Amino acid sequence: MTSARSVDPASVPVEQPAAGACAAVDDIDFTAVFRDFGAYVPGLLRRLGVAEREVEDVAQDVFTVIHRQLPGFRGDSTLKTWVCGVTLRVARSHLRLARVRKLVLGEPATEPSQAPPQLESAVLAERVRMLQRALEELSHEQRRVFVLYELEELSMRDIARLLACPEKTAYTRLHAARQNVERAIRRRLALGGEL
Amino acid sequence: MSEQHDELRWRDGAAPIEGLAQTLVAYSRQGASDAELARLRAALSPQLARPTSHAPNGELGWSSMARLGTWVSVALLGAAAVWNMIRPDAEPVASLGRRSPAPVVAPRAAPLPDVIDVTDAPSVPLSTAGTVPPRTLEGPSARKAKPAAPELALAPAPAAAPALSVEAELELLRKAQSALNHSASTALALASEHAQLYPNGAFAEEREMLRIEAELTLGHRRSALERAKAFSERFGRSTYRARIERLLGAHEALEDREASSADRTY
Repeated sequence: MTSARSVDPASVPVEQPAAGACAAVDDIDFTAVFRDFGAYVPGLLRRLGVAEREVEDVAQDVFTVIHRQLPGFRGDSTLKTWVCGVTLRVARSHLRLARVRKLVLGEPATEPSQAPPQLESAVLAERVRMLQRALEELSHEQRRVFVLYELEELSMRDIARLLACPEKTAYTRLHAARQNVERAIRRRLALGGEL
Repeated sequence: MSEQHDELRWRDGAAPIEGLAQTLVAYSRQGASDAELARLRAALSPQLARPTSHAPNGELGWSSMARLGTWVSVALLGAAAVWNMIRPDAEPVASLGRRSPAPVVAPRAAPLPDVIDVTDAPSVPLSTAGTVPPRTLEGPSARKAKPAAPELALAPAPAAAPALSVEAELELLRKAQSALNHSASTALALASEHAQLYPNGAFAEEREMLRIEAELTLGHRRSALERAKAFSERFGRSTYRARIERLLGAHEALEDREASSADRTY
């Protein structure tokens, strides 16, 4: 085999279990994970900045990795945190590809995310679009922390572990992201938008 | 889930702008639409049928499946091309192979291109009357089909090598492909030989892809990038472009990992 030269589910590293991890969780099978997170993962991918046209394919990659790595899930985090971790790593690979695409093939690196038309009101949908545009202005590092903390409600300790950075660094990124999101939204409000 | 020392989240009352908390909650609840979820379920049907994987590290990875997919694709193309040339009641050939059935494991486990440009197929009369019926596009594979690309991207075939040279061309490419598993330099040499013998051969796309992969294996990143650009210009509609992007992206990821290995904390 010619080594891992393609970004693919197989190249995504297995999440390292924390010290003192419990025994393998045997009673969780892939069907149950898909039932609980099948709709969640595409939404998370959009929030992390994966381009709309790629969300379904990337979601398929996420679940392919989950299927392969599920036997190694040891229950040292909640299942949601573990799924978020897999999603984060797969999304990061694909976002890196978007950069390459722009560099080599001259295609746009990203395209604006679209909110699926499932919100109860047009006003709320417009507010979400404003938030999405604010997130587009963040760096990938800031966006990951903001999304995982403010939207997915993961603990900062889990976020730091998923991002392989000190908790203090994660907080620094969160504060910077908050400032940038607030600034972007206020700017849009000043231009006549509503929140 | 929330730790005691975590700061108050915006959505829980700390938002600096009125209405933002509600927006955050609404956005966090957005998931797949029903139709999207149904497509995802269909695409994952092999895994759902086998919900517990007991050999997480023993299965074929995507790379090997992709290579297998490439090879199966090439083999099918070759077989179809040869058959269409030698069978007595040969009909004109078009759109070979890329409308073949879905890949082996999952619809996108080994994404095969949907349309091939057989622009340089040697001395085979080409028309849009394909002998392989178009696949009904469903699920994720259908999404990979580029809407802007024509169903059949055919051009007049230049007078080229004798008809049966496709077989020899295929054999040479097979050797190059096989060599890639153990010697990228050999694979590159064979692919270069192929380029000399069949510069506009029926498998020029596959050859160029193989050269890019071999060069990346050998660490010739700049050369691979230049070749990728040339590929993009020459085969603008090729669905191999996605695979090339993956190869280049993975190579970059590998470099990233190597660069950051010193301070990895996990």
